[in-house]
Amino acid sequence: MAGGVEPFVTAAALRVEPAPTELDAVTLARAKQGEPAALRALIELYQDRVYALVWRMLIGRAQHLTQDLAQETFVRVLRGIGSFDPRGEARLSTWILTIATRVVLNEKRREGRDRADPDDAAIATTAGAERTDHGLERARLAEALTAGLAALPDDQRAVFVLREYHELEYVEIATALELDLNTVRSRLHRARAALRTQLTAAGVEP
Amino acid sequence: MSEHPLENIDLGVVAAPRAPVGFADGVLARFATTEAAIAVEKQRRARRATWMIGGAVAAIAAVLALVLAWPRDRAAGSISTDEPRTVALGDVRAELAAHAQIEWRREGTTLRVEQRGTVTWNVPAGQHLHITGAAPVDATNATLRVEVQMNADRKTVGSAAAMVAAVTVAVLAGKATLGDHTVDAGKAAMATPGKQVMDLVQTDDRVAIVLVYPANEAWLAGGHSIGPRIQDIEHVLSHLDLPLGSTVGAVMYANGADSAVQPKPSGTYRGDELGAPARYHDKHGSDLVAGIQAGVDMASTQHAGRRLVVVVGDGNDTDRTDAAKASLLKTMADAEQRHVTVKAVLVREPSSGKPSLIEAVGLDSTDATNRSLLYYLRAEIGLPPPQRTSALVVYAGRGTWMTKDLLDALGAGLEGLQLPPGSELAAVEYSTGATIRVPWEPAPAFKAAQLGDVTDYADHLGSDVVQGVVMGLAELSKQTLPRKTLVVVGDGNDTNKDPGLALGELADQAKRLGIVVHVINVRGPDSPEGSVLGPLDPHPVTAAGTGPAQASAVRSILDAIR
Repeated sequence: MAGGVEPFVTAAALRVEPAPTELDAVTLARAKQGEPAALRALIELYQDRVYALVWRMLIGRAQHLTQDLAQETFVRVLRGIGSFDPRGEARLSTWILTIATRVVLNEKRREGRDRADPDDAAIATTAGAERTDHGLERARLAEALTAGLAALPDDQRAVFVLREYHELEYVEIATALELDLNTVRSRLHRARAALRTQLTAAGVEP
Repeated sequence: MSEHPLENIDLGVVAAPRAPVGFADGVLARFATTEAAIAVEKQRRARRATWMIGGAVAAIAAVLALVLAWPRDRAAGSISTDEPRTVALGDVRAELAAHAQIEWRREGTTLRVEQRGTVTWNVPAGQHLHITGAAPVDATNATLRVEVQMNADRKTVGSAAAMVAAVTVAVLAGKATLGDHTVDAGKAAMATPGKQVMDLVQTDDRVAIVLVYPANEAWLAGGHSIGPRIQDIEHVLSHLDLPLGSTVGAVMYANGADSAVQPKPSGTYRGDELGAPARYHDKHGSDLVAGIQAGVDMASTQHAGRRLVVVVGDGNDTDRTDAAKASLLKTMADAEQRHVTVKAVLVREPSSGKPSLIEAVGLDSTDATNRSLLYYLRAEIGLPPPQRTSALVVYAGRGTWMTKDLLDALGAGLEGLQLPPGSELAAVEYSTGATIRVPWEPAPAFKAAQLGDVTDYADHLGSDVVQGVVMGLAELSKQTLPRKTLVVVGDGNDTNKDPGLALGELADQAKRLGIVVHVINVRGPDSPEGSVLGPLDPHPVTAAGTGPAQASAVRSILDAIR
């Protein structure tokens, strides 16, 4: 065989059945009718994604609000699920993450929380501290990334988190944040560049 | 700088935390409070003068409800569930049956629980489960099922100990104590207030079944519309849902008898072991007596509380002599001596002769058609009769193939459907989108006219069977009766993009929800060659041709859901 050795374990052999990423049509129909068990299933399927998004949006600032805002997101989701159209352009996950993003941005605007919160400094660096066992390099990377994300302006961080951590398409982000596509692209580019600068300053190289 | 400034950077090192335990409970409590507050506000605005004080009280009550329901401490909480649900309470896992309630508090490695209803607990080593009740239940390193029955219906489990009528503990692995009584693995005990804990004697409810079937009947290969096909018999054997430890075997008879399937645990029967049609087409003869004798021999080797031979056939035997009759009588006596019960399920084909031999020996028998075989087999085996059923029909309200004859047959079939008492019916109509045509109502109340009239497509293009099935499954999933059946009437067409894929996923969903799906595949002049309905039911009944033929197909399906 030219060009190397066949891998001993193929990618196909490692493939596992992925967990469902979207609520199935039947449970969604039940949730739209307000059935408690279906509403619970909806929350439990998306809660980690929403919690993570809110946590990242608040990184280094007001993370003690994470649970409150994540819950507020779902209260709004449950109140609006009856009008969600599964045949529309937005996936349910996109719709929910959009609500979460707006809840966080609104809260920060309302409270004027766009400043570092000393109470959260420890939380912001927890990710790095927990990962020391994965190696010093990864710990340093985590710390630098956390600091970089915390330093980003809200509008850039929102675009960055939705794209890089939740894999929303540009057009979905544009719809969620009520921006035009070019603005999404430019904010994403600026966020990435700022983080790159932060990592370089911290001595972290890919 | 590259096109992507963060290329090769692992952004995942900033790992966000998962939602905390009890998050969904918190959301639902907050949602309920919000809705209550909104309701209160609406009420207040509508009747400001009269309800000002009441509104304030309700708002305070809502806030109190939030405070009480809020997950203040992850080491304590409560769950009340309408559906079976599994929860992890630290390292202890609890599988709650429908309508079970638990309230727990963790103290170190001890989980203190008040329980109502049935919960199966898995308690690992190093953990201690303590359930309060008529007699406390304690377990470590054990799996046990605990049933707590109450004297009266109560809405909360707080202070429930005084209301407990009986606590039953069945230990599946390890050991547990009920009061001061030790319950070992495989044993069960029950405690009632003021009485001594007593061991429950477990009776042998295992069943050994041997199916005796003919080798060379045309109806087995699907050669006739009434007789059960070999696939139907296979389906029956793999869906009997017998008690644990039961076995299933099969004997095929022609000239003499062959053992088709050696007795095996009923849960392991695959449903494709009786052989291909060619195998029995090559056989000649109909040696019923030899088949029954072989079945009795096979059944008598099994250890079970009941041993049963079920003979499927049309009652013919090629040897109708007195000698055959004497031989069968001897076999029946032999069966009785060996504690084997023999029953016959007769498929009466137009070509079938008189079941003289079976009648001559007085063999207990009943008649059956293809789809009702399971129903009769269950009855003959002595399993509980079919339970109360929620049946929902999804049908097209428009279409050239949905004729008045077919709709009339469907309506008449549903109206005359004799479901177990307490059963209920509903109907969903689809064309462009789907609507609930007949909301849930007691089955006897259903009238054929409720299905309405059929109209042609006119201004309503579209055949949204997918949406109809989604709505049907959603409706069925809300029902609480033990059996749920969905009947889909379609011509195999659907205007959705990739409906086969969607229906495949819905078929999986139906299976998970315990919903049995039957399909009536109608063939009209504009029906497509293939059918998108295949994933829902691998063996649909095809309704083609005139009204009577379609009515026959409808009856066949409805027969199956009794």
